Amino acid sequence: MGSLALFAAFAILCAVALSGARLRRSLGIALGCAAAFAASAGWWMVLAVRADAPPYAAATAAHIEDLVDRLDAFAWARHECVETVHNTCVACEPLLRFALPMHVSCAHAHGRVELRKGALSGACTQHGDALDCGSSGSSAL
Amino acid sequence: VILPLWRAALPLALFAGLGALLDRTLRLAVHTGSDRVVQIARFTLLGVAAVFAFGIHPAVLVALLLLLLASARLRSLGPGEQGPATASPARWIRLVFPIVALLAMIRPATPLYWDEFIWLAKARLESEQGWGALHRAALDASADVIPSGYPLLWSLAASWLSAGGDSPETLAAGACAATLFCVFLYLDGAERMFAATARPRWPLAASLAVLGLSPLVFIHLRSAYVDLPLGLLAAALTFGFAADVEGQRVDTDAGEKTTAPQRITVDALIAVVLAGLKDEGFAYVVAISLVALAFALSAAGRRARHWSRAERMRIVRPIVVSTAALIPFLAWRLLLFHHHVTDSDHRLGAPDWGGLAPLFAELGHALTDWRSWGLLWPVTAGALLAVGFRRGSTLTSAGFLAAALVARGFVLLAAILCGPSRVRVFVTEGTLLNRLLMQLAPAAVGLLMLLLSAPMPKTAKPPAITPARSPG
Repeated sequence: MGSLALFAAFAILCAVALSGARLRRSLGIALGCAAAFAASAGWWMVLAVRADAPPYAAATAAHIEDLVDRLDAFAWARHECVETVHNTCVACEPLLRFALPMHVSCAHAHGRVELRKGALSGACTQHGDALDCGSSGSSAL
Repeated sequence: VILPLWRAALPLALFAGLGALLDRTLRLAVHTGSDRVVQIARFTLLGVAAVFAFGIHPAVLVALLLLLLASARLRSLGPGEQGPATASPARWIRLVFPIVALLAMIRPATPLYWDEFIWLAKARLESEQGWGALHRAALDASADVIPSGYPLLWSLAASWLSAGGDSPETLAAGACAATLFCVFLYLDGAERMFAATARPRWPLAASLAVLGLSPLVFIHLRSAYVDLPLGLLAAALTFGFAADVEGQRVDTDAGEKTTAPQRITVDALIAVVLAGLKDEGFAYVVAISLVALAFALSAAGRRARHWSRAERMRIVRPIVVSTAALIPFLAWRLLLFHHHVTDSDHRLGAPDWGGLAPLFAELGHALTDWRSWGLLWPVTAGALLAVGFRRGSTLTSAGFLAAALVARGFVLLAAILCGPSRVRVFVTEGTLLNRLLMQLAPAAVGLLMLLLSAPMPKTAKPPAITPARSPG
């Protein structure tokens, strides 16, 4: 409710200011400063805390690239005819689609890919024709 | 940590060349009166739209070219954009665009958000399997392309502009080039809107700062998501119509009919691209065109019985623009129907009124999320209120932008309420609502630009009170 009240208060202030006839340039500068202040917490997250923040972005990118490469190589070696089990990693679906763009359904799969929770940042392990990624995988990557 | 954006140079040049060839051959007048960089951008837009239309079906390209020819003839009947072409775009665009491009380019080459791969997977299919592969797969229910039935242009653009690359970084570069192209069209649209009258340019900088200071905009700029480019193009289209409304006001103030609707061909091309990016794009074109038509009819109705040529053009223009979007949209829908492929996310039904309360709760949460949006939405709400406060503003360009923004908001509301239940689940449990708001954000900022720079309504001064002389 506090955020909503603040939203309403700021909206009304803006409405009054934008309806007025003076201080237009000053209003622009004040608006820019206020916008910078309001967004500062978000910028701190974006630039320093999140997985996509510059300090961690390279590591995050490496995880994703590794997983895509692993899926790519595994599928390519089996002519893209593999069975996929997503288990609890919903976010893995697009990456799997990227590795298997044609997504052909084949009668006799030559391998099995299992993607569990945490597969995006976790490890993959290969046992013969089975590739297991996620929480139960070892640190093979 | 830099995207290989150079890969887009050759495809962009090819699209520009094709566009220039079509423009010169058919005399579409896409380039009229604009500077050379803007001309190249417009040729590129024409080239992309033509290739996309041809990809759907050759008949779609023929229909589109016929419409563009007709619109070029219509435009030639009235006064168009005047003046010789200059070498480069407005100074502020020359400053802002490279900064935006640098921010977009300097990032890890691998996409960092898992759902970016939804678009890039389809782009990879096109790159790996060759021209038309994505089109064929999307119309083959057994190929299981997801999301089923969606328009293909965004993924195609990522593939084309990556010069056939199939790695995450090359396809991300293709998507980045497409996003930057939309950024340029947006900035050019804002400049054209301001060029209709002699407005100061500092409000552009202040308003773009409000947009750029939103952390979520920064994230979308550096991703392969389609929502920001869609929003930028929808805003560019709105700006084009707003420039007309502005011209209309100038006509009325001057008591003359000196200005005419401009950019009709360019706006028709933007409409085609919007319809090709996402289904929302087509809905936006229709909503914006209807608002423009209402404004044009309202203004013309107040004037003399005989409408001027410019007024007639203002009425015809939204019809041409929405028809341009309708051609690829309808053709794609017919193809989906013919191949028994369903667009499950955008199949409309009876509204789920029970979903209204959770939707508004989520909307309130999203709009007041300072960390994601900064002050963008409170400022927009204030700007909408200010348009209401201003007397006589209903027929100004700011009034038009406000009406178009509200109309697009209603389109989204209807799509969520009347769409399948899984869409409402994405709204309340996923990131859909923020992505939809991203589609509105660039136009919301346009409203702020106009309000900060608009001339204030003249109010009659009260008669001066002279003190009564004392007797004697």
